[in-house]
Amino acid sequence: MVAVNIQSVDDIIAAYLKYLKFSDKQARKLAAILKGQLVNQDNIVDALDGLLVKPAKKVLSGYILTDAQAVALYKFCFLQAGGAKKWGAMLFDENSSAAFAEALRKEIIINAPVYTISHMEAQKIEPVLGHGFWHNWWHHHKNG
Amino acid sequence: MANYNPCFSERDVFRRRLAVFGLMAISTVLASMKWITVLPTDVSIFTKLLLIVLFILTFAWIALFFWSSIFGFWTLLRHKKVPGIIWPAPNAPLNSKTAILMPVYNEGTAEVMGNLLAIAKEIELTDQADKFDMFVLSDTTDPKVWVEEEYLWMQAKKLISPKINLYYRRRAQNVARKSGNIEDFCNKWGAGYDYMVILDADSLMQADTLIQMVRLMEKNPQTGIIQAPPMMINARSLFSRIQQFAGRVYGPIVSAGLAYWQVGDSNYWGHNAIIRVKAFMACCGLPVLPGKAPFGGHILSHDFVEAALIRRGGWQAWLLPELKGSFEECPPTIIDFAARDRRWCQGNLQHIKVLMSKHLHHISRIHFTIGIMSYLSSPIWLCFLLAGLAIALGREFFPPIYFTESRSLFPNWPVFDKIGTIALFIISMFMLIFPKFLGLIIYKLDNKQSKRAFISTLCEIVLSALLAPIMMMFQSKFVAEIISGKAVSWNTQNRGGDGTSWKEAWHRHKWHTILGIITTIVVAKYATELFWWMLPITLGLMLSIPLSVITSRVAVGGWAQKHNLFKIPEEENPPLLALSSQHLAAALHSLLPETRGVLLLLNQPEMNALHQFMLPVNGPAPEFGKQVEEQAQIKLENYINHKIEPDFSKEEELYLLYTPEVLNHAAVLSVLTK
Repeated sequence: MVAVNIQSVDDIIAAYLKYLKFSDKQARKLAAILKGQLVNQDNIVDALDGLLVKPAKKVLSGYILTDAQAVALYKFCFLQAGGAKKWGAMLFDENSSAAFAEALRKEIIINAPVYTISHMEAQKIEPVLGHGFWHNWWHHHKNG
Repeated sequence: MANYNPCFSERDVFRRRLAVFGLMAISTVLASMKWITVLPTDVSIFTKLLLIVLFILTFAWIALFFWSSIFGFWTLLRHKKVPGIIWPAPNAPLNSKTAILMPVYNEGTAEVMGNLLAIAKEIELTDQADKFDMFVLSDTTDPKVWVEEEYLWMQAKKLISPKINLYYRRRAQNVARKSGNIEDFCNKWGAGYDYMVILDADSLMQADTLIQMVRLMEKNPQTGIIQAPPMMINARSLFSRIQQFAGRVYGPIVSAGLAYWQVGDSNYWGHNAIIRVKAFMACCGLPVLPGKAPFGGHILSHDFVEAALIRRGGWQAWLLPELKGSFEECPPTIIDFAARDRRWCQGNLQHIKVLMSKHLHHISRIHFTIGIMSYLSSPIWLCFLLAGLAIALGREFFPPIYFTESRSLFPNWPVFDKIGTIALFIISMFMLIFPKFLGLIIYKLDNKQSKRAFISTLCEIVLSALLAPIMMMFQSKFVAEIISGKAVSWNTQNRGGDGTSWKEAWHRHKWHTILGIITTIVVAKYATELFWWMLPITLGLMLSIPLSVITSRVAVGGWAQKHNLFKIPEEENPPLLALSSQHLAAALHSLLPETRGVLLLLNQPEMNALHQFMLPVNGPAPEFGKQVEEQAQIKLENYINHKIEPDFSKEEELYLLYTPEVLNHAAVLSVLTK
């Protein structure tokens, strides 16, 4: 994993939030609250992502997504909706408001439709006179 | 299943084919009979046989092109539509869903998205927008282009009507190249669509044309493929402008000629075509050919094979020259043209393995033969020239024996029918050049305002004659390489117009030049009677370097345009679609951030999130070595902690793009160190 010289938990949480466009002040304030939920966590960034799984799944209910995909899309929608300014800490709230969910859902981006899986069978391309024909012909003539 | 429109029977189809191939056969037989009489009498029977076989192959090839063009001209002159297919009523509403597919491979992203957006914006103006979805099917392997594609896809989605879905998916492993890309689409989403329109990265198709093609599909349920012949546009270098002019003037009679005898058994050119997904999925799963590359392995020129397989499955394939509004671009330089030819050459020669496959329609076999011959004709022509030269030189070094040991009152004169040879040469030239003037007649009838078309045609004939020996040498080399087992790699086609440098031209054409000079000296000294006959060939070879450089220049293309040379109506009044795509591409280009690849994701949280969200659709990540992983992380750390600009290798950057946890950490930590 990528190492960095500064390793304070508060700093990392604040940086995580600032990456999601929270202001410095908002980030420091929220970091103090979130810090309590991240006791004994080795990997703060993963743990913060873990906190987003449930709120993400709630907002994105109806979409078949893995946890990682749900969190990524949730963050995308939050950023696109200007969520840090408008909704702030609600990002981590499992009981977020309907207005919040609605605002984020408007930003959902679909990169591919739902799979309608089928299978194309490889077709046979067989020579009219196969290898066997020439093989037999050669041996027939060779042996008289 | 493959029934024609009731007004057009199998008998009519047979008559058409009998006319074209019958005339081809008659003219080849007559010319070959004459050829036998003009052959020198003092050469061995083996040499005679070789010359006869080479002549028949070369002449038959010219004769097919000639007669096909004659019938194409006749059809266009009478404004006849391709019979046998039922034309739908205009304005009929669509009752189906069509996917427009844009397979890409490390292409110019802004141009690709610009093209798609332009098509989408035209479709938006119709009331059929909800009948189309668009897919960018990426096989891109360059990590920077990958991120750029995702970024511009997101931007493009903001510019498109919500009625049209614009999707993006990238394959982690580009198995079987373009055909594998399409097959992957079919396997995942094909069942959700009735038809798919296949585009190339430089393809443009007007909405009216797309809708017309869907209507044709709906009206003709036995049809599997409809190919709209693409017209070349946006050429800037002299070389591409000449190609564009030739395509615009001669293309219509060539297409009409092909459509005349192919009717419902036409070919598919890989793009600018609509395909019935059900038929394609049932018939066109491509096998891996037995043996090693270049003849074995995945099928490279998949389009011909798919057309043959869909035809084998009982579906029709149509080439419809009536469908306008279908555009493409052409390679800007001779070297780019040759590079594309190298790929096509291998793909077409690979068809030797498919040609005799069981249950193929005989016209499909003719398509394969034409494709194979379009490359084999070069070495055949070369052999023909070498044989002629060898005979002339042989006569110089081994003078004829007039009185043999068997005592005779009469000398043994070697007979060479010079007049007959000249007549055959003139006939061959006529058959090659005359269709160009027929194309010009149709062009002038349709475009009365066009300026200097006749002069341009004459210039095109001269330039194409000079370029022909260069292409003959290129193609002969390609064929030799392929036969000796050298496979081709998958390179992105250069679609820009940077031009060829003198150094590059020297590198590519030095042997052409040397061969041209040596041949000229040898012929001038030892075979004087051939000097003027060989000059068009040797001159082209000797001038290959300046020809390659000068024709690659955009400035020279611009000069020609200013003087109304090789000018087509679409340059005077560009199609709105082409203008729109250029504006949109420029607009998208301006949106591109300065940072690229992984750094773009670190700097743009939305893009980082979007990239991670889309990753699973790529399929499983490829394996990267331990060293690649470590180096990538070290470079990323150095960037975050010390702002050292990372020089990621392609592999290292791909590894990072496939590793969301590293991207997440790096992104957060880069905020900390700001």
